[in-house]
Amino acid sequence: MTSRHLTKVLAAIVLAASIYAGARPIGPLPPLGNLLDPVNGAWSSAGNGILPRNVTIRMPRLNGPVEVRYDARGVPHIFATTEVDAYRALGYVVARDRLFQLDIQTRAASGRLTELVGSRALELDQSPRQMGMPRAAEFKLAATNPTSESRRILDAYGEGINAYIDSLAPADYPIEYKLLNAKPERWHSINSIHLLNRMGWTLASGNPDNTIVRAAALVGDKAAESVFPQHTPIEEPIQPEPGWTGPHNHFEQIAAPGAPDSGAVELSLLYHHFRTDDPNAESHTAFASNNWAVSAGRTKNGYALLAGDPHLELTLPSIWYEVQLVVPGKLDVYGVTIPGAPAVVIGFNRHIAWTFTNTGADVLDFYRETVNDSVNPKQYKLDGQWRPLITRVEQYRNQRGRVIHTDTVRYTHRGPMTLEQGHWVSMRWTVLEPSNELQALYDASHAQNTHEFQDAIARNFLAPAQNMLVADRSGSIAIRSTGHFPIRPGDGSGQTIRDGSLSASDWRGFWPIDKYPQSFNPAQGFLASANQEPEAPEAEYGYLGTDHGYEAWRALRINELLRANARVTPADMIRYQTDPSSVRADVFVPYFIAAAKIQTDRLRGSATLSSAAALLAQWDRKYTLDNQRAVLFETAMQELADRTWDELTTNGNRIATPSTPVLAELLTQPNNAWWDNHLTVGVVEDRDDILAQSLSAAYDITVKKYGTPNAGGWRWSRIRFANIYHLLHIPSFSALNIPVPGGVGTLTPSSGSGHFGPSWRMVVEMGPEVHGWGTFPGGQSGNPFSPRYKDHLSFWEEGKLQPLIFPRRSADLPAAATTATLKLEPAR
Amino acid sequence: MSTVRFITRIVVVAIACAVGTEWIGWASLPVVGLIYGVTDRRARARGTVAALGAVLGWLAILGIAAARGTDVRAVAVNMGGVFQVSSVTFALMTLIFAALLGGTAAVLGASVIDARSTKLPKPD
Repeated sequence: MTSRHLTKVLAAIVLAASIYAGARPIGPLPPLGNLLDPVNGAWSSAGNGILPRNVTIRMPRLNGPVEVRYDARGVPHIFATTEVDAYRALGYVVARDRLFQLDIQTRAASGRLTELVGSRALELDQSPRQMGMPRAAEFKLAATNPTSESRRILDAYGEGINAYIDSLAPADYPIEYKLLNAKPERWHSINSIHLLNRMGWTLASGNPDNTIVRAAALVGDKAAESVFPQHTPIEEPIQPEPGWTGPHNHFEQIAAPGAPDSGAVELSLLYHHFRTDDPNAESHTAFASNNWAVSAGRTKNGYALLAGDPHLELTLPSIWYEVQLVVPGKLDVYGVTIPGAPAVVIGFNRHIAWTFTNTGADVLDFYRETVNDSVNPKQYKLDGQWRPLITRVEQYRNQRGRVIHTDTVRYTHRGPMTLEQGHWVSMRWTVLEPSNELQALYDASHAQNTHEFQDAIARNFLAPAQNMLVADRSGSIAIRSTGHFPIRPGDGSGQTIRDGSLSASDWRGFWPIDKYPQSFNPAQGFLASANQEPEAPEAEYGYLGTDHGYEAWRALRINELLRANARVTPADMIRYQTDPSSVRADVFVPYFIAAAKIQTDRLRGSATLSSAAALLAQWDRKYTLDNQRAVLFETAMQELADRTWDELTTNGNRIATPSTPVLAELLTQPNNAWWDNHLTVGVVEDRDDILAQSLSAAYDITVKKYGTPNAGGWRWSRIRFANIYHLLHIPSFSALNIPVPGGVGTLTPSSGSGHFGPSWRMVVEMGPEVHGWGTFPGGQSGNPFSPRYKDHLSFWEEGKLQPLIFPRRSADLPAAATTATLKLEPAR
Repeated sequence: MSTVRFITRIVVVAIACAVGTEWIGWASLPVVGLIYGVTDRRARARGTVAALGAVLGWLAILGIAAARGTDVRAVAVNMGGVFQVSSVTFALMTLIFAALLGGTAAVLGASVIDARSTKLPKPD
């Protein structure tokens, strides 16, 4: 073959290979042509990240002109003549900035990820469908009144999204679609319901019966109930107790671990499928929202103050999108919306400011059903009668629309049912029941005082139950844990699997609103919630949940700070949000140091133990970035949990970890049998043995992992990071290894993985003119190539909040502060 | 072939590639390359001309986008991260892809013409 022929052959091969790589996906890679093309590929995706300085767009179905002005922080201020138009415009601007997020979040919520990424997402898709979530969304949408304002807004919002989608050429698609070789799907109103259901799943799927039963299977009923109690041993509840001037301890003798409970062993197997929590409790402690409000009488300026700080999974783009909606005479609200939900979820208007934390109530129960056929049941037994099961076939499709898997989900009158270890188990869950949270948020955005807000929320916000905090311009503050709380038969507890063959096992209704945990203008002048137990045990109307679903330490610290300051300023409120002190450390550190001394006195000490105790004593118990002792304490706490709760370990894994308030309770019982290491035959350890062993071990581990104490490796900034991943977990689109202050139990708790944290920090002063400050970890744009993608992140890292611009009219937004103007005109 | 002619040819191919990409997309590059290889009988390094023209055409598109405010550097950095290569490598990947499509198509186009011309009787 001549060299000329060789050249031709080579050219043909290279050309064919290039065209193939350009047109077809190779492994995980998308077709390179569509990606590298400078007009239609990745390069062109950058364009949408920039807001055009001034642009007019014709939009179908618009009633009148809408002006959208973007401020320097990229926040759209929407000025419309009707509310429906305002939300239509909101749909448009949210889609413009967050289209891929809208799409993937609702696909995840409705179990349709396989249609975007193929069969690898099948397992993820099966969970929401088998829990009945898409069916519930369909029922909720069907139940809305088509002429109601909230339904009209829901539909208008979707029209706004679709107007944007329809305007897109493939070149304009967000980069994620190009990487997935996919295209955006037109929006349907039900997507918003899917999204809200998903929030319910995230925030209200805790299941304490799961924990108790599995613990009882190892250590018996009494011990399990002792270490996973209903009430938190150390607490300052959300609803202030008259006469309390600080935290209360409800310490009781903790029952020693006993023989496994045989009934519990069998029951624990039933939870395999419906297991909703994480045994390592990462998410439990990481969803750590705070809110607090101070009434006018305790603030320096004489105006009520409110701080909101919901902690959720941190993602890029953020879960939140900031916006102001103005319809003269009808609506003027500023806050954050979840892309996909036509509502300001947390924010303020000219009269009130509001925010939420999660109540953590137990609103999910299981029932063991009796069925006519153990393999393919068609009926279930209720009060001696056979009743038909409702079946729903769930089809999972791939990117090409081909069905790749089919499930049949069966429903009793309570909810979906699955087969667990040979038993059919159904569930009832408030998240699946009829509700209209969008109507609640719509009404809330119009409320003019705390009472109107609380009434609006109580009418329709049923799940997930939230601690709704509100402050108004009259100086009032109020809080109410709002949502449906079931009234159960018998002892009212939700900590058991009930007999599904009896209607007597069913919920009897829901708590009356006046029995909800709540407070209005308490004498102490402030209110605080941080996922702690809502009410003191003496005040509780009925079973609400258990200690395992609550978190005590942050609430104690907030109350400590607010009690100590009778002239609170907005700057104080902002500073408190990143307060690095820890009540948890205040409780445990003295015990560690004392144990080291006791062991030395018992002649069981060591040089390591003495060094560790000395280092711990040097710590100011603050989780600041530059401190070099918090790491030793955290390692010691991990060692302490491992050594104390060894009886809860099976096959090398701890089934669940009792809360640290329970551990603190155990500290007051130095000879309790839980301290004994059950593996050391013939030796009985007490509290101080275990504390000292844990501290010594922690020292060795910390030195091994991070070097000697003062060499710099122990700095908290080198230990604990925030890791904010892009929705597709693409590292270059993410913000990783961000050093963050705070630790377990501080007001800004950082989780080990760094995936969770403060998702929207807001402070509002309810003066004659309402002033707000806020930030979130990310930026308004979901486009990774946009300068607005993570431009708020540096403020968030430094614990600073940015002033929120809240103009009454578009003309009030100075030209210098307007970075872009979008005019929406009705299509001719 | 003089330098001026060489450069002129590259510019003409670049314009064709840019317009083709704007209208049709990346798939226009092999078409432009093929047409160029077939039509420009007098040129010798037709593959090189087409490859450089394709690169220049795409560079021009990116340059215009950058001038309009598109942060092409951000794209290169972030997309480089996706492919686990540097930003420069990602940019080079883009340009090499263009060069391969345009250049190899021109070589093949030229070979068609060369094959036909060898079969034709030589003019007296």
